[in-house]
Amino acid sequence: MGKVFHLVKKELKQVMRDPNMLRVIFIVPMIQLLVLGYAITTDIKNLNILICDFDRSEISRDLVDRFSHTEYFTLKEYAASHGNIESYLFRGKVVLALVIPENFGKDLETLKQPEVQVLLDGQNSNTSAVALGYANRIFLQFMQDTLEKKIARSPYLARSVHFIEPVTRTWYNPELKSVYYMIPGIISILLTIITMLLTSLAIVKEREIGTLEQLMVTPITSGQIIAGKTIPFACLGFIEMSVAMTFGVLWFKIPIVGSLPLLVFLAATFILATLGLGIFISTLVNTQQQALFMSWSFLVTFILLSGFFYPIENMPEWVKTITLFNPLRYFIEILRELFLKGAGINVLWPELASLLTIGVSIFILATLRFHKRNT
Amino acid sequence: MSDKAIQVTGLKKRYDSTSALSSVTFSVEKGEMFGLIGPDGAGKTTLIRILTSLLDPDEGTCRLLGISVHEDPKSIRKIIGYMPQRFSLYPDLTVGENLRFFADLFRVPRKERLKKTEELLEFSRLEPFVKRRAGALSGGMKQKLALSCALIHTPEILVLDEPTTGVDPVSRREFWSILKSLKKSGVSILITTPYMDEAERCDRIALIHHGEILAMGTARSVIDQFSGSIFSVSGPDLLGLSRWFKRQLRSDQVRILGDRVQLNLFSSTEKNVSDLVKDAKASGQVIDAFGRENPELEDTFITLIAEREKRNDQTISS
Repeated sequence: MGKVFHLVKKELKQVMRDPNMLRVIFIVPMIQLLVLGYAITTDIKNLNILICDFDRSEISRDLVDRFSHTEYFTLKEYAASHGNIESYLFRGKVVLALVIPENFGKDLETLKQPEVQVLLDGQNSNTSAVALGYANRIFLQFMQDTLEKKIARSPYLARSVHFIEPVTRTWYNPELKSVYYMIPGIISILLTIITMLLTSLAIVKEREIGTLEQLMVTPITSGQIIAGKTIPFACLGFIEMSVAMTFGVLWFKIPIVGSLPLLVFLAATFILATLGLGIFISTLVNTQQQALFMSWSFLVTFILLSGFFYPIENMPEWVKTITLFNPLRYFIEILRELFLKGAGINVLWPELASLLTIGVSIFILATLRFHKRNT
Repeated sequence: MSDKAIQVTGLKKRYDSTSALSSVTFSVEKGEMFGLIGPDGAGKTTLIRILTSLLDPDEGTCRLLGISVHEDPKSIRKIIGYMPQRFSLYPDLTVGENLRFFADLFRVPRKERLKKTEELLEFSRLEPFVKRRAGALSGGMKQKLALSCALIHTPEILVLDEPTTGVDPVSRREFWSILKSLKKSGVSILITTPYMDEAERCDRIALIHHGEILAMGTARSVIDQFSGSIFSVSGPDLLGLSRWFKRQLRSDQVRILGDRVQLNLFSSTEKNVSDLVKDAKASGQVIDAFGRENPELEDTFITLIAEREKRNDQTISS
């Protein structure tokens, strides 16, 4: 144990001596949280739209008002003819264009089925899907109101038509703030970077400058070297996580409902996997550049397949299977459940089991490879 | 037990298709300074890496003070001090911190560590630089620090891989005087070097080439194995002379050395030198002086390599 202590001490001394490292560890995460916390948001508001109303009736004006008096849409242009619509969509000035045909109001009164045209800029499929969702909601409300007006005029209809009134309450994040959803994801990514990337870099650096060989001729085992390389970065990871969480709580007012000791314990199992990966990467490469590139590839794959941006439920089956091996997927899930719902071990045990399985296997595999490569 | 410091028997190592070591056998007595001399790529570093348990041989055994390197690498690491060819200490730690770190890894007790550190800093004259980062030291100082780190646990055997390559002449001389005093204190030393002048400072040397030991013994005895003779000729046009002799002999037998052309004649190819000189004069070369020279280690080495290669050529062609 004494030797490991000296290795850890040396490693921390080296990290602390590097002014860039301190910046990377403490200042960068805050900037990332701040920028990403505001920038990565799925709350889509104030989408620019264009409305072209050929009808100009009382009814069509009602519909136009409903589109323009909502925080979701901003009426950018009130066009008089078809001609302009395409250029607006093409230049990306508006996301959605609504075209109300002539006789729209009259047709609705006479129980014909009038059609309105909704044109969408599909370039950003995410945004246009959300815009379409908003539009459909407005149409639905509009139709319901129109119907209710008719019912009011005809007692006969009132007896045969019924509506369902959904009563929605959103739990755990009542305001549906996406920042609550994003911060846990960002924290877990930061933790991955510190533990996986820095561990692999620290090992490869020693190989590059030849000190690893010098260490191998001292009476030290490869297990001790691995401990000496992982413990410092595990500590830094925890420090970084605390900094990020404190920042999240104080600045973004994220509620942390769950138990902190449980969080630390679960984070430790997650770190086991990422540290193991760091060692594993270090056995595959020869230079720090290669280590950086490889860690980066792992990181991007992990993020894309973690459900951070794209829900795992929407992925094809075979991709879903791949995500089962992604430690980040479980950790993001754990953080969200724990932060917002205060979930305990009775709920989180499947994630814990998966993380432990992944972590222990990677760590063993990496240690074996490290041992084989260096002795 | 009168164990030898180092006993290497029938060591073989191949990297893919090239043979790095082909059946190397030698031993180093306790308290002896043994030099492995050879050009780059001769297999010196491979041999050292096997000796220090960093590499496993394909065949053969190494014993240090009677302990098998392969069977008990852990004990081996306690008794050897190893200084690799490349500077491999932590450039971002200071001189003092590097020493302290290696002392801690070898679990040198505090009292002994302080005494040893003081001693090492004094004889390496690094004392004024204790607080300087290792990366900011000059080449010679770096080597002295590396040596000090290799000595911090008072090893019985010191293994040095080309410690003076790329070091300035003054530091080289200083380095060797440190080694000499170490030898006096009873440390067995194995050192590799491509420099022939350094070889002559060793008790015994082995000339190694293409993973094979060509000659072994004291520098004197190795030189005595030289079977050819060395002549030198001088004249106003050294370049012309050397060109002429190269046409008559093999090109690696003729060298321009400052003010003269040196001819290295193997016993097997020796023609009457005076005939050769006569021929040269007859073909219009101007020769002012001509005489025999004492062979040096380098001549022996070059001759041995040339003979070995000639033999190899013959075996390939036959």
